[in-house]
Amino acid sequence: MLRLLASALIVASSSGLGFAVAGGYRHRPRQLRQLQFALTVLGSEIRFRQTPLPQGLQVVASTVGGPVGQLFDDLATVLIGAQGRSVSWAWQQVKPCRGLALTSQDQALLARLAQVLGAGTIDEQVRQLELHMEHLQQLEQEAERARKANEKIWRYLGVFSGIALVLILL
Amino acid sequence: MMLSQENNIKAQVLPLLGCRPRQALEAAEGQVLAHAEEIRLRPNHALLVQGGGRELWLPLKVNEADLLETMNILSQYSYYAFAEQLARGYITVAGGHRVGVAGRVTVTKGKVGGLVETGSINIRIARQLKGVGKVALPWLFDKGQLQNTIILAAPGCGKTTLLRDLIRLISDEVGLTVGVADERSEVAGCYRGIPQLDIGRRTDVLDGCPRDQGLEMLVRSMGPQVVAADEIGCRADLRAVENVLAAGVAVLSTAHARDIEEAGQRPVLRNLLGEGFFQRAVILRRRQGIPALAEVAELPGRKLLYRGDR
Repeated sequence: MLRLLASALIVASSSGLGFAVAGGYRHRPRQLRQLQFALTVLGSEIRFRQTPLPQGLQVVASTVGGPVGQLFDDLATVLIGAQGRSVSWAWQQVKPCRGLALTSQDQALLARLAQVLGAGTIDEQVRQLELHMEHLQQLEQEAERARKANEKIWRYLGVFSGIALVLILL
Repeated sequence: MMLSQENNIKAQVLPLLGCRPRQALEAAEGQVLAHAEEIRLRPNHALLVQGGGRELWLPLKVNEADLLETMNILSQYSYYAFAEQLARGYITVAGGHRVGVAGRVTVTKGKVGGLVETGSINIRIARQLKGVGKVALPWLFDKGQLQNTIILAAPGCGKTTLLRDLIRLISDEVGLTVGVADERSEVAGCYRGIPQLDIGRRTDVLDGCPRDQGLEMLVRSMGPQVVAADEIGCRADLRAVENVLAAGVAVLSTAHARDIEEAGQRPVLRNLLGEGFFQRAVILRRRQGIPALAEVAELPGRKLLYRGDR
């Protein structure tokens, strides 16, 4: 009886681990897509309404929602209280991106964006946002490929390695 | 009055500054802030507070980071939203204070395109002296009619301050509708289109609008009985004043000139004064360092109506 319970526990935890890794592969492309949408929203706020950056970020947060929206809301909050310290500084306070499935490569891209946000004319800002969106698009495609290749593997790997472990221990 | 001025600065001006300059000003004794008229930040030099004819160097060497932080706060991290204002050289902030900015300027097609790097910042603190126009006000009327008036003085003698108070008195106490073409946001100190200084409850302001166009727009749109503009002196103004007077609206204005003689030497002012556009000239002079009303004269003819004590 005890043996059965232990086996179940091993299988459950290892498949949980597998599902968690798979979840990362599943969420990343979606979040990268949301980030592109967020930059589109920010771009139009800057271009058509000349909204100051903190308020623009809040608009993005309420439009996008979810963990990606939360990221922008956090950045806006830090920025409002930043007493003049740079956007990059504010960005560093927001990291690590809680609840996000972004890789260090994705985060480095966002950090580069933080360096240019707010500094420049409307045209420059829109151009910068477009550039970063293109880059995000590439990352998204790559993430999509990785998802297709890895998501199922990790799920099966979790379940089966759990079963295998149980069989060995038995 | 002095105390409230100090609180004003603490509430409205200090939060605009980067961390170090703000702390330096907070640490300075109360008297410094109470008399402050201008706060200047220049990289590699000490923080300077000017006011009441004195200057005070605070023990803080301003660096580039201080300027950058201050600009970040002033622009709310949004250069793009303020680029146009910065190209004019200043930003008006809540409370009507004006922040002048100098630095590296880009030029496109012979016109200033924008200010791209901040070299120095000057915060000019708006202070309203209510009641300074009370003495002059009665002399500006003839048989109950407000006469077209020009205020003449050298820079720093309180022209704009007097104009602002006259507008307030005419609007609130005389009860006339006043329109103000506030090209440089100095008279009403508008922030996002809303006057931050008290200019009376019957007053409308066109903020940032070129004087000549502003005066005519006001006459067309707001039905004023009086229009006011600061520092007239170019040919376009002449035409605008002509049109305004043709519409039967009285004009209040100011000009750079120590007295009527000096005004007579300036081409445009000579025309304005000579052709009988103005019936009253108010002249301000510093008396023992303090700006004061020197005389009110009738134009043309320069008959002295009022003379301040020497």
